[in-house]
Amino acid sequence: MLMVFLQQALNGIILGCIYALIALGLSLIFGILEVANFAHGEFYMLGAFMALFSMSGLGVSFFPALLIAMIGMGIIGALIERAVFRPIVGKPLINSMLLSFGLSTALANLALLLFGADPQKIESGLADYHLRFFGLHLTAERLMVLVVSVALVILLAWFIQSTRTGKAMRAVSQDRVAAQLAGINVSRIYTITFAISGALAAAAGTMVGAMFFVSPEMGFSVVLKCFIIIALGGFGKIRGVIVAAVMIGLAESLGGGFISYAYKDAYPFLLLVLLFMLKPQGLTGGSGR
Amino acid sequence: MRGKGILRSVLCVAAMLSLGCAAWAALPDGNVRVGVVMPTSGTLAYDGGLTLNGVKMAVDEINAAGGVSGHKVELFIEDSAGVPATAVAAMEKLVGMQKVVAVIGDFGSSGTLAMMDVAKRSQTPLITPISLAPKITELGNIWTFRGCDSSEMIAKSFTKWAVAEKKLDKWAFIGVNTDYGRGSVDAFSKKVKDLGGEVVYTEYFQQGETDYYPIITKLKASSANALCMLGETVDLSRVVSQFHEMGLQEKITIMDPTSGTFNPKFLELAKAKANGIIGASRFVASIKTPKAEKFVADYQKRYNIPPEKYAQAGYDVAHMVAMAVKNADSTDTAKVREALAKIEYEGPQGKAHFDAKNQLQIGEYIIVVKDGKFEIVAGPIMAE
Repeated sequence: MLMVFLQQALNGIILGCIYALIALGLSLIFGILEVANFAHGEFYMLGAFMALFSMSGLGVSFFPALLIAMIGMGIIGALIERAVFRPIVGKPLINSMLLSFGLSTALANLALLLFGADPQKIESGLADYHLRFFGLHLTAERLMVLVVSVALVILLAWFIQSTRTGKAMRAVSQDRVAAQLAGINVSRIYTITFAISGALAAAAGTMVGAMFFVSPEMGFSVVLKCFIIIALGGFGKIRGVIVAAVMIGLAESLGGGFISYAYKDAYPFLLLVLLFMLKPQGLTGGSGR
Repeated sequence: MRGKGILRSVLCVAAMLSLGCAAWAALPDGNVRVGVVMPTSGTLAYDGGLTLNGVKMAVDEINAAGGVSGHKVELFIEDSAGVPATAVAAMEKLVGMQKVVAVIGDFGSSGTLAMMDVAKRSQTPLITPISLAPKITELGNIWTFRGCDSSEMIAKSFTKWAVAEKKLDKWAFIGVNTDYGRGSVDAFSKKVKDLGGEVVYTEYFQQGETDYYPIITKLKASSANALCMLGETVDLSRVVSQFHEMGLQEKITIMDPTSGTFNPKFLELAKAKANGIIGASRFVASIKTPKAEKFVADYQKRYNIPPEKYAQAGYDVAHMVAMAVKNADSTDTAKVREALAKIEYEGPQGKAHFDAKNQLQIGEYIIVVKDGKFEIVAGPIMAE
């Protein structure tokens, strides 16, 4: 029983790492631009397709494809920010919600039109290597997902904490006008934020495409889950979001394994309701990060 | 003059129906009119099209061989779109306007169930080539026939082989959370227990689910030696990959008795991991009987794909209807119904006849996936 529990917990943590990558991007956009990007799931979906096509079209192997997808979605993210979101920064939240819902539908249907509805698989070539330790079971593919996501999250945290651009991003998220007065190019920060978020989503999408499948509708359910995560973890807070993402992964995995798998998608929402009842100020509490 | 002729024949038909159809032997002039209701649009269009392929091929064969006692068979095809209401409208049109002798259809069980009332009211034989729901032949509607196996028959035949013969006695179920999934799990569980087996684990998932690790992890910890999957192509391909990722293929035999995975898309998604999946099917293209080999060769030549059980069902059912009209020697629907109930048919699938509930009695082949091919390991196994 203990082994089953530990195995379920391990599965949940890996799932949580994927959620963290997507939710962090969403949270950055929310914190810095103050827009809700419901099209974020489509960034993740397009990133996965980009990796799939670079593997099938260009013949590159998995890791270069992951990199191509991240760079490609970084550029597309920046372009979308410039063309779609820039004009509504500073407007009420409802504007960005409606706009991004529309963008999400448009991108998902465009993908459906261009790529077809059939799910496809990214072959990382790692799924057939099995690791066993202390009675736990892990494929090399899942280990890769764990390592890559943790590395990306650490990289992001370092970037935001220690680089000049990262500090500027934090400044903009605290006070846009003051940052502008201090000589920060706010528009540039917006573009960088979208590029980073797009790249993180693409990395998550590629890894999910390897573990599961790539399909045009893969983005929508994920984005809702990630909004729960940033609501749980606190909008714009990196550590809170990571903790919340892992919690949601664990809730799905343990709830699915020990209560009932058929109602798996309900557990994250249940967790959110409980949190609002018991700790309305959020996981990491009050202000600050 | 012509108007008078039509009036007379209408009166004749009416008289025949009202008199319970007296001794009017010999087929009337004109074609034998047969209706078909199949989904040719919507999500089932591809599968419905396969059945229609079989029906059309059978009719062309019959007509090329001189028709039914010299009368050509004429098909009237209507689209059910996989929607019960549309299926009913299509059936009404066929019996009301086209005056067909029998209707072949529908594909999905819910469509067939909806059309059964029209069959009874209009006293027209309805024969479904595909619908699996046991209920169809349990309702006591004498006008409805099932020209294929039911999910209950599959369960009986399959468990007979797996539990009694192969000693796979500890079953785990992973089923889609729908009527089909839950219904099938119940049917199979009962049969497994009847044969002295045990059900050690049952879990359901939502359609379109991606991550099955929570289920597979528990499965690994269970004492199961057989996993029975009930679901559709894409979902099951994920179950199978994750089953292999967890390294369970040595310990547990993986089974798909309702053959949701036995198609090219699944083989493409699961690749080598599909190897070793055991299923049941009333027909596969590798059956080695003269009738089956001829059917497979002709079908392959005509459509450039190998036939599977949907095409075979359409082919067989069309032949059965023609045979019933021939035996009845009449286009009177009541006589055709009687003849159909008594039919002794032999097709690519094997010998078949209807029981008292109008359920076709046929055997199941046990098949296994091996390097992208479906090989027969046993069968045909009869349900009784």
